[in-house]
This record gives sequence, structure tokens and C-alpha cells, in this order.
Amino acid sequence: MTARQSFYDTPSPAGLTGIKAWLLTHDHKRLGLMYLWAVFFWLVLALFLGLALRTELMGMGETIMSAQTYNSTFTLHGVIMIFLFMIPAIPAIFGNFFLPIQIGADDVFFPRLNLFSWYLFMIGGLFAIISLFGGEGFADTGWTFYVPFSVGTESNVSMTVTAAFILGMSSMLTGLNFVTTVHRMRVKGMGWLQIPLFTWSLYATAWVQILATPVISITLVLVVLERFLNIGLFDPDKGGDPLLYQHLFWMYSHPAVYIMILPGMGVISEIIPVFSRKAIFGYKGIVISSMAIAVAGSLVWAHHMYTSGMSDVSVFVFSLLTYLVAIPSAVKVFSWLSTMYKGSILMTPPLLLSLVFIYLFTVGGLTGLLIGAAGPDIYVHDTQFIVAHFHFTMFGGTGFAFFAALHYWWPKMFGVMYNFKPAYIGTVLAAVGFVFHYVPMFILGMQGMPRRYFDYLPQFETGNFLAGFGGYLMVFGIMMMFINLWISLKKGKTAVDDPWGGTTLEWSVPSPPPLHNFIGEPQVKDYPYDFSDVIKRSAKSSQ
Amino acid sequence: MDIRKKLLIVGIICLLLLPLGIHAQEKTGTDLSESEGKIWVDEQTGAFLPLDVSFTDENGNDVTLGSLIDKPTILLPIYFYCPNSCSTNLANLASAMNRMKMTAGKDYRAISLSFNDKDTIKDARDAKGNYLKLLYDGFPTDQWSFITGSKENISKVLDTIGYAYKPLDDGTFIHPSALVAVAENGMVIKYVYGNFIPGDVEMALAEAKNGVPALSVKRLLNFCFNYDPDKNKTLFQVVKVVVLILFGTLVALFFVKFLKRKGAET
Repeated sequence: MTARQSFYDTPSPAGLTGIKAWLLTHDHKRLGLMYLWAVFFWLVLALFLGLALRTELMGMGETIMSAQTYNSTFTLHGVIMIFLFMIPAIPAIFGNFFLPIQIGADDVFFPRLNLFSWYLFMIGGLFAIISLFGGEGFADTGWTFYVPFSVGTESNVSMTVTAAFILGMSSMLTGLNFVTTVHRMRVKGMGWLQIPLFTWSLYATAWVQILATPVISITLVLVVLERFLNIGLFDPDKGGDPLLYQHLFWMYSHPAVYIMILPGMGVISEIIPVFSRKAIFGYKGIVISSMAIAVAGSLVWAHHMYTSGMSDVSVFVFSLLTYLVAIPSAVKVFSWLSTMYKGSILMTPPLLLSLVFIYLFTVGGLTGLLIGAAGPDIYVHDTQFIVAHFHFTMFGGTGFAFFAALHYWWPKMFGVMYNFKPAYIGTVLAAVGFVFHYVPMFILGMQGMPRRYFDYLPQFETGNFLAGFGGYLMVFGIMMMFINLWISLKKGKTAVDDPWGGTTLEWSVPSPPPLHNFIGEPQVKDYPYDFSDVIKRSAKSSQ
Repeated sequence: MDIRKKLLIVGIICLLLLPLGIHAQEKTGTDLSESEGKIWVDEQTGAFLPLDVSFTDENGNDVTLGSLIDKPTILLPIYFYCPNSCSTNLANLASAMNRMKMTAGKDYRAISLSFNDKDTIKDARDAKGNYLKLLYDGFPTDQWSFITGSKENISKVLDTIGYAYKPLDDGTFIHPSALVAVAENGMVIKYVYGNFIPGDVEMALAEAKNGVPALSVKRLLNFCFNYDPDKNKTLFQVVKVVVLILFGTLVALFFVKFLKRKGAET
């Protein structure tokens, strides 16, 4: 066994072979890859469900599915995308794989707990699906499962909330693992301000996961009490409050939005400086803004409820807080752009995807301000505008950050380099398709087309028809990216240790890394984004 | 295998079976609530309204539902005098009608039916005057009727559409906010919930025009109920104090332990 032998060839615990070496592994890198395949499966499934929805909407009236099927399909699309793709994607895959390496550790602090989290994730996913198929068919309430519809109807609300709870438990344990790892496992010499920004963003996210997830478990207990003992927590008839469920639900589910986006921002903060060959602008600013988003993002849940009859004071306070979240997000965007300014930019697929991220996320963020203000929100509430907005932030944001991360770390994870050309074409198609898909929805929303309908009035036909083409283009582009990556596994060139000229620790180890990650003692730099060596190296090689 | 491991495994299995148990309980929960009439809106799409039941409109004329429903119609069950929150339902409907592309009188008409048999013709007239002010100039006033009637007649209509409300001791009601789109022939076509966003109401009317019962989009079900925010404050104060004490104790414990460890280290 050589020191460079990759983790693929050295099972942990030693002696396990075949499938067991994966299913019983304690190695954070293998677990990261196991998450990768699971998440991949859900993503592709939900993508095609989404495409089916938009195909139905391309023509007026019933085309490929009935109203009931449509309602169930969009519930399924939402549940899978949120709980099984967006929330786990970046932290569970890339966090597991790279967080320990970035801080110079050989694994996470609790490797067995890490494996347990993966099993919880799989069981939770199974439950979510069973709950959708069980009972009287699919639930049709959307992914929010608001009471009293969800209590009064035969839909499997308890089961679905349980699934969310198990999935939440999984992400909470992962969060716990990450916080402990960052506190206890950093290599000697790495202070708090030498931690790479991706790890910082995971650290901020982990706190949100630990603090917000218990709320959904409280909600589960309350829903059980409500249904089993009929005590009327949410029933005004018995002195309960129908708003209570909404508060509890969003108290978890809004911070969950930041669980989705923060790691994505961390990915972009890694990619931009590497391909600008320039230290990131405002390292401390980005660190502080990550923590600020984590804190402020946990306090804005009620902006989903402006029209639900809350008091005006609450509406005002939550509107103000929502605006405050925009500040740290803007700090990040500003830092990314300033990093590129006068940088020596090297175009690669991960950088192109990051630029697409910045554009789409900014549009999503700005339209978020419009609906974060209570006044205009009432105008566009529950219309297609909202659908476009959250797809811009979640899919344009987290989704594209996920693709960027995939392209950035792929050579490190698998030791192979993919072909750039199809990656570029796929990215451009996906981005152009994205804009053509969702911009018409903004317009339709402004015109008053409500969301969640399988049908619409004649004046909305053109917009919906055009949006459908954008959807096909986008899915085609995404599939092209994936297939290109898949082909690289079979036919790709072997990747060198540091193909991009990165400065964080994961680029100092072999591709793919050995079982204990590092061959020698990790060398911590005074500043994690110091490119002077990289520039010197490339100057030498060009001479 | 030692006893602790066994216990752990049993514990995990129980945890995993928990949702099945909950699911089994759900059925009884629903049945119970049904017998207590807790289903506030039990959709009855496809049913026909009793068109011959008579009511009195805001001008004191005797009308039947049949005489009013001559085109796709919005039927909003409501009561006209409500001390705080209920006015939003009528106001939301008015604002939706303002923003809709369909024209009242040509494409649809609206009926607000009071389920409070104590509401008078004057209450209906006052309410109508109030909400007409929210509508655009030139709105055909005869196309939005505010009708009152006897308890028996109200029940006939509300039972048909599956709408439940509950009178309280202070003369107010707990009721869900929902409206029903009705076809020209009196068939219940679709339910609209929440804040009556214009797109929702228009879709429902378009479907009422087709005359085929349609699946509702189950948004948030709002309720109207009177409440006094100044009541039961003691309980909240107690909760606050208890939480503060608990939190304080935790912080104190943390520091005592922390300082002890520091002391031991030095």
C-alpha cells in the first residue's frame, strides 16, 4: 500500500469488501459519495416531475394529466426537491467530503454518527414517499401541509411531518458533527480566520440546523396531540389558534431556506478567488455575513404569513427583519464581484456556473425584496410570481451552486477530468432555458395568474406555452452536464492533484485523496486565499 | 449482545414504528372530529343549491336563490356585523372584483348570504353601502346582493354547500373564509379559500361558466373569530418567568462548570 493509494482502495473499517465497504463505512469521503448518488436520484426524478407539470401547463385545459394528478405531482415535486435535494445536497455531499480536508483533519469528529445520519436520510426519504402513496392517494396540499386541511382530510400529514422530522434529524446530526469537527479537529495552527469560506458557511449552516430542526419535532408532537387527543391546539372552536401551526411550520422551514442557500454561497466563495487568481475581497465580511444570515434568517419566518391575519405590528417587524437579511446577502455578492475586479480571470465550467449563480441569485434576491415588503406581497401573493421568485433563489441559487460545486470538486472526488466543451454548452443551455422558463412566470404572476392550478384563463396561454420551451431547454442543458460528467468517469483523463490552482488544503492532497486524507502534515497558510505561490508557479511554467 | 444494546435496538425499532401508530390513530381522530362537526368546509361540488328557498335582499324585497342566479355566481357565506376581523372577507372579495378582468353583470354576479338570522335588512343595506365604496365607479350595484333569511332557510343552503360555523355567546361567530362558485343552473362548481385572490375567483367563475364541477386548490383556510388579546395574560407572564428562570439556571450552571474547569486547569 502506497501513501497515495486512494480511499476507493482502502476500506474503513479495514477488511470490509464489496458493498459492505460502502454501507458500513466510517469514511467521510465514501459517505459523501453515497449521499451524492442518493441525491442525484431524487434530483433527476423531481426534475422530470417538474417538466411534466410544465408540459401540462403548455396548453389550456387538461392535456397530459388530470387536476388531481397535477396537485399530487406538484406536491411530490416540492417535497422531493426541498427535503431530498436542496437541504442535503451541498452540506451532505461536499460538506462531508471536503470539510474535514479543508481543516486538515482525517475525518469528522463522530464518524459513526455520520453513517447513522446517512441511514436516517434514506429512511426519511422512504417515509416521505410512502406517505405520498399511502392513505387515500397522494397528499394534495402542497409541501406546507397547512392545517386544518391537513388535519381534516385523509392526507397523511403525520407521516409526512414524521418524514420531515427524520430528514431533519439527519441534517441536525450532520450539523452537530460539523460544528464539533470545526471546533475540535482543526489542524494545529489553523485559527478561526484561516478556515476556508466553504467550511465557514457549513459551520453557520450547521448552527441553523441544530437550532431550527427541534421546532419541527415540536410541531410533530403537537399535530399528534391534536389528532390523537383532539385537544384543539389549532382549532378556534376549542380556543386554539389556526395560525400556530403556520408559525411553527415556518419557524423551521424558513431557516431551512438558509440551510439551502448558505452552503451554496460558500461554494461560490471558494470558486471565484481560485479562478480570479486573487485573494477573496473581504474575507471577514463574508464570514460575518454568513453568521449574520444564519441569525437574521432564523427570525423572519412570518414573512410567509402576511396575508394570514397577523397583527399589523408583527407584519411590520417581520417585513423589516426580512429586509435586514438582504444586507449580508448583498455583502457577499459585492465581495464576489470585487474579487473578480482586476483579477486574472481563467474561464472554466465551475466559474461560468458561479457567474450564472450570481446573476440568477441576484434576480431572485431582488424580487424577494418586492415580496418581502408587506404591501406588494399582498398584490402578488399566491401567484406565479412567487413560484418564479423561489425558483430563482432556490434553483438558480442552490441548484446552480450545486452544479458549480460538482464541476469544481469532481476531479478531486474521482480523480478524473471531464471534457470542458459539453460542460460549457450544457451550462449555457441550462442558464438560457432557466431565464426563458421563469421570467414568463414573473409576468404571468404580475398579471394575476394564481399558482397551483393545472389550468388557466385564456389570457395566460402564450406565457405558459413559451415557459414550457424554456423548461425543456433547461432540463436538456442540465442532463448534458450530467452525462458529460458521467462519461468522464469512464473515459476522462486522470486529474492532477491541483488542476485549478486552488490554495485550500483539499488541493494539496492526491486526487482522489487517500483514506486519511493527508500524506504529510498539512501546511496551513497564514491566509487561506494567498495565490502568490500559484502565480509564481504558473509564471515559471510559462517561461 | 448485552442488555444495553438490546434496549437500544428495541428503542430504535419503536421509534421507526411510531409513525405507523400515529397513522392508525389518525382515522379515529378524523371520525371523532366529524361527529363533532369539526370539518368546517366539506366540499359538495356537483350538488345543486335549493333554488326555491326564499331570502330578503338589502332593499327588503323577497328573493329566491333561483331568481338571483342567472349567470355564474359567487356565493359568500358571511355575517354582516362583525366587531373585528370578518370585514376582511367582504373587503377581499371587493378588491378581487376590482382587479378581475370579468365584468360584473355580464360575466358573473355576487351574493353575500348572512348566516346570522339576527342580521336585519338595515344591516344588509349598511354593509352593502360600505363595501360598494371599495369598488370601482360604475360597478352595477344590483349585481352584488346582500341577503338575509330565516335560520331554517340559511341551513338549507349551508348544508348543501357543506359550510359550518359556530355561534358564540357574545353574538359573534367562528367561521371559515371560503366562497363558492355556482353555475347558472345552481350547481356547486368550486370552492375558493383564503384571501380570494383575483385569479382564483376568476378561474372558479370560468369553470362555473363551463358548468363542470372542479377540484379546489386547497390554500390556507382562514378563520374569522373574535378574540381579546388582553385576556389570559397571566398565563403568558407565568410562562415567560418560568422560561427565564430555566434559562438563567442553565446559563449559571454552564458558567459554574466552566469556571470550575478553568480553575482546575490553572
